[in-house]
Amino acid sequence: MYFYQIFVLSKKIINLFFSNILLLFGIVVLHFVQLINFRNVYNNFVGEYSGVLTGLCQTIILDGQDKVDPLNFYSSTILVQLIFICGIIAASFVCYDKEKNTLTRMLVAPVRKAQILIGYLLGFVFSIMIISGIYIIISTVVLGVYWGNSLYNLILINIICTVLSVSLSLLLSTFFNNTKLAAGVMSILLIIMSFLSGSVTATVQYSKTSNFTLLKWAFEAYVNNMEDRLLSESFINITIMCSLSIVFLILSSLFFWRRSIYDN
Amino acid sequence: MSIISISGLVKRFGNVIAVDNLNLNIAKNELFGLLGANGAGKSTTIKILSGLLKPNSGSVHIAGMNISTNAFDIKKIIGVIPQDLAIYENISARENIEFFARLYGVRGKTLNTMVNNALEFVGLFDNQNEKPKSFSGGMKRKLNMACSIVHNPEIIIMDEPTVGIDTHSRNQILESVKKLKNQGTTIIYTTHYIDEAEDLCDRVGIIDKGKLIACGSKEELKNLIKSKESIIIDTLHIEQQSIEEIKKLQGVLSIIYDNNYLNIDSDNLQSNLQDILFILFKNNVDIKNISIKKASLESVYLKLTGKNMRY
Repeated sequence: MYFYQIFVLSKKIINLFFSNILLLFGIVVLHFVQLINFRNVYNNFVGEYSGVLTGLCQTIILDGQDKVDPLNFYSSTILVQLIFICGIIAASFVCYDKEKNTLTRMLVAPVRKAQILIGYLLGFVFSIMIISGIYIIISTVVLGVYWGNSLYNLILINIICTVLSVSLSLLLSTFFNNTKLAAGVMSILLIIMSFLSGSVTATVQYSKTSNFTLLKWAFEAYVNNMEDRLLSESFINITIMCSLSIVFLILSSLFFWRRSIYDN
Repeated sequence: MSIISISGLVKRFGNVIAVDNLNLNIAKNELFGLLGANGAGKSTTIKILSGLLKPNSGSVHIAGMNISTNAFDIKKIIGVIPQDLAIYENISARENIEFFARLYGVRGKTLNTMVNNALEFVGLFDNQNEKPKSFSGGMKRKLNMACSIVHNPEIIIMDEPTVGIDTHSRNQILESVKKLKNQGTTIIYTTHYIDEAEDLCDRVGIIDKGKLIACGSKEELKNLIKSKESIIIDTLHIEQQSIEEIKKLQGVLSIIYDNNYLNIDSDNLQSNLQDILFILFKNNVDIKNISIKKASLESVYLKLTGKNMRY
């Protein structure tokens, strides 16, 4: 019964997540178009300034990233953004449940709050993994992006990054009862993190600040995998992402419990 | 034997006492009405009974189990129809009911049968594959009800299930409530519509400012007021002086002025009516309507709380 209820909750989340298939399609396409755009800009740049290309590109765009192809580097940036944008959708689903009283209805059923949280987590992680998987496959097949030679490591990093995104969403959604407000706050947070993480700007300027962004640790892990480094070289990134996920999940459950509802 | 037993229940929100020393027993298969104005403490009581809120003190026993130690088991035998709609708009009516039934551990063929029964019970069988976003307010209310009764609970708690819907849907829901009662379900029905409580309930409890100020059958409650008839005068405006003069009339038992309605209980209605009208004309009070009503739950409520619930 315990696992059946978790399964039911996760399945419902997956159904709801994919109920607006146009939105999800739009999000994936948008990110993919961004990637194609970058490739075109980069290629034009190559044609125009072939003599000074390398130095210019590395200084302005890549800031010394010399091992990874700029397209691959940018792909990982976009993937991390995609995962966190899907996190915004996840947060808005949780707020929807609060706003529409369906969470209250779940709580009057013989379901424990831990089951609801686990159900949310599994449902969202599965859904976002599917979305990010589609992005990875399309970018590999269409644009030839190289994600590294270890598929297992890529899947592991993807799972950890997705769990981090979902746990942050769950935490933020405990503070808000309004779907639009939750999505707005999460979007602003994502924009700030993207800007400071160094994944879309020169890292020198924000090198220290970037350490405080989630995106930096996530996209670095992907880049390491693209460079065919051992997983142990991403140990710090993985540890930080896992630790933060655990902290976020603990805090989410604490705030969830705080509603002074029985849970015997 | 009571299936629900509430003793000394207190719930505070900061300095506000939402439920104040509530004592109540509800028998098996009883349809109990909890009547009170908005903010009287009905919903808070319901939330405590459904395991959503923890009381500050007092105890609640449902089917012999204490809610503070057995809430999880109690939740299995109760169904709660919340005041606000609690359904998913983007999945079909059937999927909504199936999802909430599964949370009670219902699955397989039983799930299918129970969902069909719930859909038929509320009259949404033909609309089962439609999404609630295309439903009318009444249909949404019916779906809300179906999601709560699909697991065949022994006790159903209804928190103002007819608020904000058209008369036709309201009547259908009230019929459903009667059918559930006939099937042997114990029902707690909160409402601020006096006619609903009068029409449906075996016993009614009147709650005001968190306190249960009266409880009993309709006849028992009507016996609480001396007069069998009341004069109700709808005025545009009335001075305190007129009210004082009417109070002094011999035979006038009580007078309540609320929302421009003057409600007068008298044991000598015929002779008092002339005098009352004389006083009102003398003081230039504009009268919109005059009616004489037999003692009802409404007059009991007005007498006990001093508030007119219709307006």
